[in-house]
Amino acid sequence: MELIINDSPYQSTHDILSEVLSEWGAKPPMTVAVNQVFIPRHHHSHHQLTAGDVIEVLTPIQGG
Amino acid sequence: MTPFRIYDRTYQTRLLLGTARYPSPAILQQAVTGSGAELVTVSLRRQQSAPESAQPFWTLLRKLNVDLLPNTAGCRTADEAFTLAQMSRELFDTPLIKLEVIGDDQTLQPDMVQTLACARRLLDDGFQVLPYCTDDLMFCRALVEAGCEVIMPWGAPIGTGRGLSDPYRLRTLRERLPDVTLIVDAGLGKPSHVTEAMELGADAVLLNTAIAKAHDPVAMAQACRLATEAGLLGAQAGPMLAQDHANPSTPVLGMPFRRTS
Repeated sequence: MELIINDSPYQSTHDILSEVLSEWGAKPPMTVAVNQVFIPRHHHSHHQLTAGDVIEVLTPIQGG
Repeated sequence: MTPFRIYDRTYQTRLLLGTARYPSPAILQQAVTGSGAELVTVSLRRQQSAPESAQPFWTLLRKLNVDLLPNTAGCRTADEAFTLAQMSRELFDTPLIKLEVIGDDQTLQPDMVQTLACARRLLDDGFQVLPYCTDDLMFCRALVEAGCEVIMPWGAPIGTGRGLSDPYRLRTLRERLPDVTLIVDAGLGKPSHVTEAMELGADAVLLNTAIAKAHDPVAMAQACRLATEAGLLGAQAGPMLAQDHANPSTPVLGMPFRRTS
């Protein structure tokens, strides 16, 4: 399944968010949105993805 | 220093500090300590292919032992800012959010229509919103009426260090919105700017570039903390009214060498 993760195309054999994140190499601390909708951490293990979904995996940085 | 309120929290130090653009993590840590800041701003960006790069900053944040104020810097729409705020709340485990919705790439002026719309949604969702805003009285009043207990008007465009562009408008905000916590955010460059903001009635200031880009960020952090104290004490002391004409402070009566009759 073709997905977009952090602005780059990504091919995955999985369709559950937590499995895709693990395969991609996402590591805590992180927080996730799909198609610009926040997906709470406790939903990752049952959030079903579809082809073309745009996933954002964000992490803390310095800010002003 | 008398404490001031940010929603249900009280803080002693009248200086909030940004964590970006420091020469090194060690200097950031020393600057936070030197400033006495109890609330520091943080942000979220895409995790890179080497996610361990985020770990040192995360570890440093925990060591600082201060409250965190996530921002929505860079967002251009209410929808973007709302989603980023929700993500921040989960990761940083705080209802506080510094709401930034930028409307102009050149000046980084906040888009107040989008900011107000997003503030309403966030407040409805249980956030404690600190909106970065212009000094427009009508929009600031609308933010307060929407439920914002804090407003953060700009002193000048972000990162310019120009000092207060329009002290009159900030003073007017203070007079017309006397009960809201008013934090001057952005555009301050040196301690005298900080003092001026506090003298005209700000409850606190938020600084980043002024300290991070100083030759000695740690000394500047200390100087700006002292400037908040000087400005606040000066405002509480009630400054004299400025006069147009000179008035000798040493009594004229009894001046020698002159004939008065």
